[in-house]
Amino acid sequence: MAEKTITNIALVGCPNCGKTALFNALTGARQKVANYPGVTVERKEGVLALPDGRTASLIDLPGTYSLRGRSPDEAITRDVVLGRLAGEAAPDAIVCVADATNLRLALRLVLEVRRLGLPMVVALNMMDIVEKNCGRIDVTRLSQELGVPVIPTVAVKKSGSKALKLALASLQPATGVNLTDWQEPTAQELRDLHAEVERILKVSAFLASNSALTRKIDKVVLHPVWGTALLLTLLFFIFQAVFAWAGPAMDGIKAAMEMLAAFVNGAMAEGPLRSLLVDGVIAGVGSVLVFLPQILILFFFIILLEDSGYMARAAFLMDKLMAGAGLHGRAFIPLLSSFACAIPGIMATRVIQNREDRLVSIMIAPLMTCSARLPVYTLIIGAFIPDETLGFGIGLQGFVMFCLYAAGILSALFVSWFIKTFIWKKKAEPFLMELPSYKRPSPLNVLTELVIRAKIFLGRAGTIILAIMIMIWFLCTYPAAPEGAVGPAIHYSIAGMIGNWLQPVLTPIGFNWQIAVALIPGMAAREVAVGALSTIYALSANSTEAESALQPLLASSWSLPTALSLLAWYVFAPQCASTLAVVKRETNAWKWPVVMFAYMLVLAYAASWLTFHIAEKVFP
Amino acid sequence: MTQTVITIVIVVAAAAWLIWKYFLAARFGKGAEGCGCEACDKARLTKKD
Repeated sequence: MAEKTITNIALVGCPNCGKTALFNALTGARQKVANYPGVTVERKEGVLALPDGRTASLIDLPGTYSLRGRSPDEAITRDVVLGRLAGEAAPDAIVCVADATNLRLALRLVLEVRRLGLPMVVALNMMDIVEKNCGRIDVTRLSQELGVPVIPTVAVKKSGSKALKLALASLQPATGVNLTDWQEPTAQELRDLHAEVERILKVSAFLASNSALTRKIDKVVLHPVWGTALLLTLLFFIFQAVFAWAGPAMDGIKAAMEMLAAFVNGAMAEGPLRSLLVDGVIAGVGSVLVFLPQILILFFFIILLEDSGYMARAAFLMDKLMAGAGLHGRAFIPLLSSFACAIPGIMATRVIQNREDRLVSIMIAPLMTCSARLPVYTLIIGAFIPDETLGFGIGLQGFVMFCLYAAGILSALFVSWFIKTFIWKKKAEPFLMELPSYKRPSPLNVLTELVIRAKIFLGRAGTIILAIMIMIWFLCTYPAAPEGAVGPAIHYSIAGMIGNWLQPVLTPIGFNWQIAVALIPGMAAREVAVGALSTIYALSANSTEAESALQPLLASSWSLPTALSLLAWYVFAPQCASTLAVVKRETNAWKWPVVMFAYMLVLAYAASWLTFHIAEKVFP
Repeated sequence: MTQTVITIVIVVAAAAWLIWKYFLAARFGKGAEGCGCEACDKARLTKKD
């Protein structure tokens, strides 16, 4: 019989202990590294090459504070460690990652895991910060007290991974371990556990709780008034920068697209293929691509805030406001993720243990302004909002963008409050979270994240958006206008017919038939509406207008109330088929995507109607 | 004539790809859900519960 060896190792640790960074350092894989708790909500597996030539499978498990499994992601960690998860073998050994800067919290989990009797190594991560803060940990003594090897690591610098691999290679497989006997610790056992942690800390560690600088910064950053003012100022500055800094790069992309269109026009004879390339592909995809600089600037700031440790403080500040709206504190990370895209945000709600709390968070996640709305907002703002300053260097365009984001957040809070007050009446549960130390963001990590964001955006432009633009061009071009027809040929096309059919429903909110047509492909991906408008106007414009870019064309074709009405529509509109599909999967019922679609559609129509009619009175 | 043929091929290919992406891929376990970003792909591919 073959000798039993360690082939399956699980990586366990509290949220935000640097577990994911250590996983990357050990396996060479790349994954998002952030400072807020709960970023790892999925299982991830890699191959670990041990120094003796053997290889083992390394599983990165969701962060957890204990094995009790209070939320769905914590339950996954518990079930994998105990070998209870179907299709998942129990681990032969465990690497318990302990945040050295928060050792009290980490040791509770270490002791809980140690009780299982599996071979184990403790990775004492972020040791550099402990030393920088004048703390001291006697690693040898700690190892003696715990009875397992303890290896100091600095995962983000890949320091300590060699020693960790050596320690893992020297582990002997356990015999006679029966994980099925595991039972949740009783209250008395938990008290004993805390007492043991205190005893171990007393003999092996001297920890400065936080650096003096962190405490000084937090006095301002976490202050109810100054901290909130700082958060609002930061957000305001970011939206100003999105408009102020992106201009030259956007102009460059626009010019490149115009040159490409001119080249294709000159190189090809007139015909359907030339029209498809110029009016469909270049006008459609190009009008979306032009927003890449703005999206990258927005994400640059979000990544900086995450990596510096500020985002966790923002969660802390927002908790009171969120609790007032009946939201669980754990909803902050899913809702924050929804600013990039509602889909990972909805999936991240698995960290919320109560079903009703989770459903509320799912229902409001699409109200957070996702990055796909950005091209629509910037197109309309650029066309209709004058590039003026309100004084003190505050740009009007950036201010309007800030208001749109704020409208999304406030409406999400309102919907949550409404549900929790009138439908699911339940008191909000307390929320505990750790605040990480401030860190200097790694330029490499920021760059890597920006490259990933650019690749996602360009990937969408080159696949979904390109394919839909081709279909839009087809629908806008065929059937051709009959002999002797007057007016642009697009009026006789399938798209023209659909637009005219939908127009009576949308006229009360100020939408014309072109907008009606653009809203349909916008169901697949919101930003497609921009490309669709570009193609529709390129095909319906006369020869002089066709030379113009989309923004001046819209400015001359729409009224200001129509533009504002469309902005209001996009704050609420349930226009994303993928989001609805994910809601169905996550809730395992058709009821919730139907409810979401219906309530958001009603909100969108009502908001557009109000905006249009008020704007008509104010700007006649 | 050549332009017409190439145009038809491109339009049919785009339509077929969209039908696959939004209506068929999930049935064949290739996953049509998600916006196509890395986070969605990861969550979809690694979902076990």
